[in-house]
Amino acid sequence: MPAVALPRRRHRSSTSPAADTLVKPALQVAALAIGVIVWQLVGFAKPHLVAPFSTVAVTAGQLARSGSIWGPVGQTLGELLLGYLLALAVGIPLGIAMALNRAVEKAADMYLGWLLAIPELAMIPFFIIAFGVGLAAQLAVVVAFALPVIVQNTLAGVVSAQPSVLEMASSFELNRRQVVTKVLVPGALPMILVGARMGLARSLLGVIGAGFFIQLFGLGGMIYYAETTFDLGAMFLSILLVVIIAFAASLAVQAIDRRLTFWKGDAGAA
Amino acid sequence: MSTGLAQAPTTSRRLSSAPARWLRDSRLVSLLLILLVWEAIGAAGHINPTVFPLPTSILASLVDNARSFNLGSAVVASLLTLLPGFLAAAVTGIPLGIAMGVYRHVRWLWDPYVSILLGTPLVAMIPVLVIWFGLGELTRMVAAFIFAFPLIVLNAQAGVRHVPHSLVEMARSYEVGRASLFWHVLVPGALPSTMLGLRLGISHAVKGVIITEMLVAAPGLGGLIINFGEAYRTDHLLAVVCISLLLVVLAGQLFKLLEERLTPWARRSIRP
Repeated sequence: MPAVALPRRRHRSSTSPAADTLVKPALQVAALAIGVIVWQLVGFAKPHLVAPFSTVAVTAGQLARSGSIWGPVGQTLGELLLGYLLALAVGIPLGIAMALNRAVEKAADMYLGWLLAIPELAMIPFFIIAFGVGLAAQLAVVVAFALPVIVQNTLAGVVSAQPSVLEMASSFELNRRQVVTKVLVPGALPMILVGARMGLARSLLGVIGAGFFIQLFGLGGMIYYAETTFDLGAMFLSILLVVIIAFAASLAVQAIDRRLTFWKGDAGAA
Repeated sequence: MSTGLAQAPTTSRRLSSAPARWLRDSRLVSLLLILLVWEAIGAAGHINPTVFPLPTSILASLVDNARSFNLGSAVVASLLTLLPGFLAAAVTGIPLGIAMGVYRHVRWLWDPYVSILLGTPLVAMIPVLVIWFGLGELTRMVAAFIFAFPLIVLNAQAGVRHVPHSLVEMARSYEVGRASLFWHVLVPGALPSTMLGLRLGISHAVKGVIITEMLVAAPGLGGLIINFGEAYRTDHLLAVVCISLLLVVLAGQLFKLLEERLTPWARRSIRP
């Protein structure tokens, strides 16, 4: 079927709009199915490189029944949640506070830009030196990875408050605290949520990275250990679990985003 | 982005020469201030020099490593694996992104995989690369590829899809052929976003290469980071981290310059 070479809204190719609503999910499911089939075939052909899907499924079943999969998954999820919530609890207030002082805001933007440009994992050896090898270091890594994005986006969100809204607030004679809580924060919410979304991705990166370098724990540790023992089944399983966690986490944040910013409508965040 | 909080005007225009304006930038002043305070506290012995090395010792390490060619060869090694991987990502990613933007069925087919690559920590995939491609340069090149690829595809795709309909309709009213429409309207229209994708892509590719070098203890900046980390030489460690940061920033700035020269009209248009 010759597809139209233009993204035009009104023109439709040979399929009707109704058929399209079936075609899209069908194609996406097909894409994943093809992927699994290719995975299975490649794993079958080259088992020393790729663990076929069947092996991964069997391994998953075994580990689930023996209970030993829940340990790593639980550790990963637990530290992810703990570090992430900590980063939010520190980062959002920090971002708001920074945005209120003009000089701080200008300088902070520059520093945050630098912090975000550092290859994240490159900081891990520093954390090992500073915090040792243990839970404190792991949590510090997760928090530190997420913090700059959260602060930067909160900062940008508060700073981009519209002057008209601020004038309206002053015409209501709100005091400073009320301006912050009732005007600035709700207005900044879309950008804060963007920061929260990116922060979650980075927290997960931190948990996996910490699992590689600090101490072999959680799914990161599982991947690393599987690499050293060439256990392809375990490695592919743990990578698949990481992908699933990342996907579920982003869905969760999107759901929260929709609930919190329902009032924004079409003019909402990108 | 308006800074709607303060009503006062921005910096005064008394000193108009560029260097003088640069010096009065409060951000640089704050940076110098922080460095001075850090140095003072450290010199007075109040903080652990292993955890927080003095700025001067970091600088000394920088000079030291530069002179011993440690740093230079590490940067070159990192770049040598970065560039082929990034180029491969650009050469494959831009056509795929454009195809995904133009043909919605292609988009629906590839979207799950691009989303997976975008959303998951790619670090988790590096051990697989090590098993497949060994401990050598190929692994790092492939790492550069997978770190850059999803961003390049995403932005090329977005570029095509955001070409204003008015332009397309205007071209159609001139009854131009499909090929001409593609090359003279869609491709230039998608260029700003594609350049952005390349800029983001190369920054991520640098990070990817350094991370892979860390995992594999390969020659390059990542290898140096691991070595200095294990030896607890924080001053050298932070010096190398600064250089890595510089590399990422410079790569991004280079592409920003390229962006401005190739797509000068983009500055005036509304960027999504």
